[in-house]
Amino acid sequence: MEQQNQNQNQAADTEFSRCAVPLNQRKTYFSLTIVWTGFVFVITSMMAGGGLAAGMDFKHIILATLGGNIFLSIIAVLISIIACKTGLTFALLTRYSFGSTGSKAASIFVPVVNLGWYTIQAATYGHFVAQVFHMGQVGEGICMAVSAIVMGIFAMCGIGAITILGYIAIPAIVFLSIATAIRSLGVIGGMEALFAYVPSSDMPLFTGITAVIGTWVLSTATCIADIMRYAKDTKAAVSATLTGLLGGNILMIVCGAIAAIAMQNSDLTVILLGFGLVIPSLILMTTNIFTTNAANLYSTSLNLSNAFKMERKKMLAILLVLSALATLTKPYEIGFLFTFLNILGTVVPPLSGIILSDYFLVHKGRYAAYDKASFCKWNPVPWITWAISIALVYMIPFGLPSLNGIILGAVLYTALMAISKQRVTTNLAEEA
Amino acid sequence: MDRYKLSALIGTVIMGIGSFMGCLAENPVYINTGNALLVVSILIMIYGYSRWQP
Repeated sequence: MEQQNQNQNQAADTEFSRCAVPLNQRKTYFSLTIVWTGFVFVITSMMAGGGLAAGMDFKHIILATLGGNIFLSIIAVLISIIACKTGLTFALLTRYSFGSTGSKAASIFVPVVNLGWYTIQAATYGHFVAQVFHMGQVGEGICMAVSAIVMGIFAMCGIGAITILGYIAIPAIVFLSIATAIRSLGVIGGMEALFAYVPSSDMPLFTGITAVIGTWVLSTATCIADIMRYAKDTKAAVSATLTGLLGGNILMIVCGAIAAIAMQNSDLTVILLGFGLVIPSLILMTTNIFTTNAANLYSTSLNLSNAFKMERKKMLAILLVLSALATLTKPYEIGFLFTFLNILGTVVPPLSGIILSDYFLVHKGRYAAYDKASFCKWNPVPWITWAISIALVYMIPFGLPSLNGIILGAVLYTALMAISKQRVTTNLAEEA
Repeated sequence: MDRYKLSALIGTVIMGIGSFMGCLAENPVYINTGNALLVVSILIMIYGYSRWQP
């Protein structure tokens, strides 16, 4: 009977949320790039570009964008390699360092923050639609709540539906972003005027880099594993990761910055409508936010499926209701967004440091096969590492907080694991 | 080349034309044509990419 139930659960788990992705289900570079780039193409990156433009000249915006994305790419590539080699979701990967019960607690953190992202994006979209159709306060509230629910449909349908959405959305985002940037350049007065732009306030380069890192650090440290576990080989995973970040994210931030410089405003909805581009801006916002939020919620559902052992679709329904209610707090405002990004840029990197050091240093680049491994219930080392690292990141007065966090997480975890001689996994085959 | 692949590729090209026309044109006739092309291209791409993917 138990065996029968297990078989039924496995048959229902078409998204491989509780096992490794089999080799015959792996995807090509092109397919992965579409899903990952669709995820990376997000309106908040454009808004972050607008935020940078408020405190930096264009040369420094380019430097901050490049610096931030190179940092993100390094983390993302390393996490992608782990995900591709194991075929496991981020939630299942944390079992090797946090233990089986500890993993559930750690994998709750990611969806909570992801849901925060999801809600900000849904609220931004609802706010935009309400502005386009001149709806009042009540109309805006309804638009934001409905957006949160409608975006969840693609996550319900799974990775196949997200891929089709990506194939349609990505060309639209590329064409429309470039066209918006060209239009903005015309308003500014060309490239020379763009480079001569002087911001009204002064933002230090490190603050700018941290904000850029904040835009994607959570996903490059966590959600990317849920996408790249489908990679056929590490070459496909690494190439797709770099295409999305170095191509997609840089394009988004720079286009957002150019548009903001032209219109002296970092609210993208106001900028796009200011150009009178109603239909293009509606399509840009829809494709941009839907692709990201679909993949975001998909990843969230996989994490919670691990934590609560509840059916993915039931959990999604609960999350959508919560998110719809949370949109009513209007989390799209730029000050709130930047605070959120800066906190993420500090809190998440130590977690990536822990996961990276666990795979590459503690386990020497080789995890026992998931179905042949048994896990201890709880490993306190990653929790202690994470807490100390966050505290130190806030105390250390020099360097880049995100970089400090990842180095501290990796070094402390490796040292504490060596001192405590904790063993989280046991290979069942070896035991037998 | 099957009709799904053809639809996907033609839809993408029309989207490119529509995007730049809709965003960069000055004349309202061209702007509206660009907007219409954008909407049509999305429908063609949904038809194409739902069955064919590279």
